[in-house]
Amino acid sequence: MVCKYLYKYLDGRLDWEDRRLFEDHLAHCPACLQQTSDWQQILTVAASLDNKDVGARVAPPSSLDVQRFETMARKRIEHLGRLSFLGRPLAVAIAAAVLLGIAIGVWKNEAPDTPHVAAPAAVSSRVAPHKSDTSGAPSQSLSEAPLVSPSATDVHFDTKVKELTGSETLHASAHNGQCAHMGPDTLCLFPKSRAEVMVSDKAHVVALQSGSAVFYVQPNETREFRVTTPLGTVVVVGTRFSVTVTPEHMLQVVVKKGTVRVEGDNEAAMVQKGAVARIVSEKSGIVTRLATWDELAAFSVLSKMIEEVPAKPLHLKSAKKPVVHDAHQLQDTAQAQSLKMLDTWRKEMIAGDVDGAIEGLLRYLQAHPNDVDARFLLATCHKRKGHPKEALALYQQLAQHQTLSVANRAAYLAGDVCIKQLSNPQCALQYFTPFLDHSGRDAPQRGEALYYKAEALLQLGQKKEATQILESVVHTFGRTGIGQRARNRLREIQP
Amino acid sequence: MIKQISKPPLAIDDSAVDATLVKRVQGGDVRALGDLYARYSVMVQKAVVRTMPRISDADREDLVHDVFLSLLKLVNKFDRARVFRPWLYGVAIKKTQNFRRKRSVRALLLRQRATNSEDNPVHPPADGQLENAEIMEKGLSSLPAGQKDVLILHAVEGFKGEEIAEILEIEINTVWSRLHRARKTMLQLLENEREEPGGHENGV
Repeated sequence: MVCKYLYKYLDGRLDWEDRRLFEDHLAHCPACLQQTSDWQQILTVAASLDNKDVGARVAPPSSLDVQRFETMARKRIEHLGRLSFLGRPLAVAIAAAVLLGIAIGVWKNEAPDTPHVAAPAAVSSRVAPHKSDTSGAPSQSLSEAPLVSPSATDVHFDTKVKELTGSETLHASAHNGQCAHMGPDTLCLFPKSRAEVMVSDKAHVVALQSGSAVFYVQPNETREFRVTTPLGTVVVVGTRFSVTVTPEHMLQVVVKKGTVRVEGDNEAAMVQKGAVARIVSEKSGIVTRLATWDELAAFSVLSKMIEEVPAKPLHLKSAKKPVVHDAHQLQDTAQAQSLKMLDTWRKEMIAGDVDGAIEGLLRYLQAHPNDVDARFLLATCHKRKGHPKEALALYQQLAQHQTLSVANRAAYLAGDVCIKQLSNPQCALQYFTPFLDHSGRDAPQRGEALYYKAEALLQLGQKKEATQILESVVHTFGRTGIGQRARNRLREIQP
Repeated sequence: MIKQISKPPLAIDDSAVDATLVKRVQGGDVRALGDLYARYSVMVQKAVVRTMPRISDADREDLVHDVFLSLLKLVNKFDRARVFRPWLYGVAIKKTQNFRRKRSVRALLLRQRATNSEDNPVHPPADGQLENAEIMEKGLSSLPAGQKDVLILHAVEGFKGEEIAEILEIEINTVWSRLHRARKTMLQLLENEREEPGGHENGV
């Protein structure tokens, strides 16, 4: 019944709710699942074909290219005689996200002799380089583990939340984190951290001097949100991201969603979602790469901590939609994140990076051992990699699952692996028989299961039973593809 | 269908970022234009190559710069209620078509054909790939151009139906029907392929 939504689902025309419902349906409809995976395969081939023809000929611009282009654009503006263009302040209207989460860490902050970061026009006073009070033992301990790590769950924040209005210095003690509101935005400093905060109508600027911090930033088109660190500046363009500093890599920005602009000494880089930017030293450039699962997972830990911060009533000056910080939404976000991670690996697998997907899934399963979807996906990865035995072992486990639909799906897929990849008819019978016993008469993959059961019986030399089954398939599924195949097979085996 | 599931988490999508950047470009901010260039240069390059596969690398680079520089003027016409990305893709296609037309007119006047043959994309034999993939590649290549365009915009660039309609300047229903037909052809092809291990060539 729900199957009729398949094409709309593949088109991406279902709304979020219907999509969720359809995905639930996919979990126990092998026919739709098959078509979905076929379609994904087709899309992958289409993408790789396009990549071969088109993608191989294009390249992302380097930061030098962007600078060159900006120079050209300046010349063009002059040419157009629109010099008045340039009079406007540069940093107006930046933050535009619905919800921003930022975590920032600074490690071993030595006082620099020269100013590092070109302050934007909107920031009037430069953050004075600060010799960290905690550059001894604490930074030593920080050097042992990245600041933003899952072990950060046991960090506690003071329940008293400060209200910041002008320029102020914020300290967090050795044991407790400290939170503060800056108008509608919220900032939480981790223990042993220190930051100077400037709040004005035009900009919220946080100069993080040592330690690390988490931010929630509300969208605002006319006010800039900027985090400066000794090695670079993070400009919020409208996104969700984390920043941390590790011993090997001085400044690290992980972008969870959207895009941020990371500005170093001589260059700036737009860092897109799922990417990590690093500034290793003052002279080095900005290096970007893809974020790992751990780095993204660390962020969800931070989200949970923000949940513990007492929510503040929103000051709504404009009629803009309020951002609701409720637990429900955060839970949804966590769920959406897992779904997104699974989706990422599925895409990775389809794109050919099966090893990457397996690695990610194994790590994910350590944290979420009961995630059925992840286990199915892992099995599919093993199948793709040509490890049918591993896949079979996973399906065997899943076939014991207490939920019948899960067990049935696993049984069918196990039988499928046995007959197609392992060429083991006995093993196939072992799974197809319970599948056929337990699945309903109108179960979508029933025809295939019957067909392959017959195939297994044929391989075992039980021609009579196989013929009976094939005849029943022809009878029940006459006009469909599987009925046609059964008919052809019958013609083959009968004289 | 029951519609009682809680609302999805608020989407923080890139279009909000684009809207901000576009607004800044409208205000004359060159760095915002640079950011747009950094974000979308690859997409525009692809749009150019897809529209004119024989374009030389130098022409392509010029054309891409031209597309982004033209934004300085065009953004003022851009309705910010719309999504920027598909709009930009459409601009890139139109610019490329203009370029191609001028190029062919000039070639005609000069009585010589544009000599870009060295830039023809090379198709190396797809070795080590699944047989399925080869068959699908053949199937995809033989799809009608209209269906293929829609499929690429949908599958590779991830545009929504309405956006594709806007880019290609066709009806939304045409988008869905083309996608539907392409999908049917390709799924059928896979299905037939899957039947072969059973030992049969149905010759559909």
